[in-house]
Amino acid sequence: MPSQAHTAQQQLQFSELRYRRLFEAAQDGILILNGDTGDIIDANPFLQKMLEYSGKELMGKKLWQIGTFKDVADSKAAFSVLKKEGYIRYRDLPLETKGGRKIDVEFVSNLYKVGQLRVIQCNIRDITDRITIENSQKKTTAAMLNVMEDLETAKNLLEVAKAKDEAMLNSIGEGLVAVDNKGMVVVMNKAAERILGLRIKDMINRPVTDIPLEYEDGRKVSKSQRPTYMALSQNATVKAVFNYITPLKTKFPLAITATPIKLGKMTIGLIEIIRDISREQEIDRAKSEFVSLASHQLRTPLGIIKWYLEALENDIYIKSAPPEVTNHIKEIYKSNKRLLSLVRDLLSVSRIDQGKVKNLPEKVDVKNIIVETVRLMSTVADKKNIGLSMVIMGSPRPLVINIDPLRFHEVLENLVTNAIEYTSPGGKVDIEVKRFTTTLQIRVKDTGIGISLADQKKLFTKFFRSERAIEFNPEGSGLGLYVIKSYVEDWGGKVNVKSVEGKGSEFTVTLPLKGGDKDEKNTNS
Amino acid sequence: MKKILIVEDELAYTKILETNLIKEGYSVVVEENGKKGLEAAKKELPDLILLDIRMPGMDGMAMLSLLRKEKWGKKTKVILLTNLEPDEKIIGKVFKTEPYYYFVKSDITLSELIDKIKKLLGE
Repeated sequence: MPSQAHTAQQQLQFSELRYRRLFEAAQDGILILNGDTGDIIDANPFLQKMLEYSGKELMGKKLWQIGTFKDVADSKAAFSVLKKEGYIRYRDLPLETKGGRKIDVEFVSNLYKVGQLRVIQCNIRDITDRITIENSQKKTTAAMLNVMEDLETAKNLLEVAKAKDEAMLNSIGEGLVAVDNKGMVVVMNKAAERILGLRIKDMINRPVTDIPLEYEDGRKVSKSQRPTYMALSQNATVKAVFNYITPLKTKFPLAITATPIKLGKMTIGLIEIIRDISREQEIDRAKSEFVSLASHQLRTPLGIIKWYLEALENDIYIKSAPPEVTNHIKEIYKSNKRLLSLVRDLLSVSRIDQGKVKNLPEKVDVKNIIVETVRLMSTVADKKNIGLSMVIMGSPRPLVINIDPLRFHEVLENLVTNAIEYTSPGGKVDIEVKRFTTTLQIRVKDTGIGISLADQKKLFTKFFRSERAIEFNPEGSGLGLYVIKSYVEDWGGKVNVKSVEGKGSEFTVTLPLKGGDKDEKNTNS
Repeated sequence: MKKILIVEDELAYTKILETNLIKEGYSVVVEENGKKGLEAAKKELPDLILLDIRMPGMDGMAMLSLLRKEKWGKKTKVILLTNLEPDEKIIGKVFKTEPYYYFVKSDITLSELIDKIKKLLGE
């Protein structure tokens, strides 16, 4: 039977063998030093590979002799700490391999006794990769921090911009409501809050239909007729005036301009500008009433002068007076007539503006009216030596449509009078009437003084007269075309002008024909 | 001789109308407001009344309404002679009170007016 010593011997051998295997196979570098002298006693294969030294090159050398641990003084100092403390650890120690490759290692060494011998075991782990990763992580972190900083800056800038926008939005006197393409309120400014009496926070993300609108007669404005949905479906700016019903159930007229916001081809929403126009309407009304009253007051003395002048003209004594006297009376008569027609125009305009002009349509043969008007105007044209011609295209049958005959006559007379007025003797005025399936077109073309492009834009505004027109005929009131446009648009039609300065002008009135507007043949049979 | 009552507050109009109508052989009575005009109409029973609308005190439209309520005034011929543009309100009343004409003084000439009067009185 084996002795105890033998067994112990065997166990030691096993342990030795096991240790050796671990030593050989370890994936960390292991270096065994003499604890007293610092000489290298052993170095495992992994370490040899790591430092690129062979076992032979390492054996018997001191650490600072192999060139890996460059700093001799530091290494000696570390060795003496180790001898005294029995333990030393470096988390990150830069080394150089034999080949000059720089590596980072974690260095842990312990001092212990094996029998009488003091040995130092150094475990050296190559942490170059880890350090690289850590460094790049550090860099990434720094980069991320930079990005965060930039973001913060950008955010601050955005906040400043937003504050500016908000300040701007809120300083606008007019109410602004921004709506998305589903009709939900996304932005509303202070002025809108004040005008509508609705709180911004209550309106955000609410449908725009929460702003109740009514027609003049109290009917509710349907969703599709609201400026928001009109503008969305037409993809164009829509202006409208409706009565707004406040939360306290009072009403006032609200002017709304809805403009689509386009992003590329998509409409992403609308900006709606709202304005309380009750005061404007009041002023307009007061103005119109004043003009109307003043005009009536002016008419009385002008009418008296007219009759007395007429009486004078027919007076036997005056009739036998020298031509100078009768001429004077004629001049007074002309000026009186001018004043009266100016007052009549002023009254028409004030009545149009007050909405007092009533449309009294009846079934009339417009051909008759046109022929009759042109016949009446031909005397004036002849006097001025202007060729007046008329063409009615298409069927020779009467053309019966539903229209206010007096106002239709007024429109036509106004257009033809203008054409004659602003054309020099020897010129031409052509009237052309054309019937299309759904429209009636009346064109009045002259060879007159023409209208510049800039003036064409202002032509239909109240009291506007171009410099050229004033030069040519100082007597006009600048109201005729305004009246024409108001009437024609009231009928659902439109007036267009084409003109070249010095060459002539062409006015086209286009009127819609309704179901009942037919050639006479159809109505008779 | 046909009798014409002029109810008009503007003296200049009255004078020229009166002169010319007398020249045409009518007998003329003149009053300056609706109240006096109505009294004169009752007393004189004129063949025609030339009636202004805007007058102090009782205006022409009020006088015409009252006139049409009287048996003697129901059929009296009336020409409204005014400088007011006929608006809806006036048109409504005019329709009910049935005057023969509505003339805006400054639009019509004196001779045109006298022609209409002559025709209306059947001469």
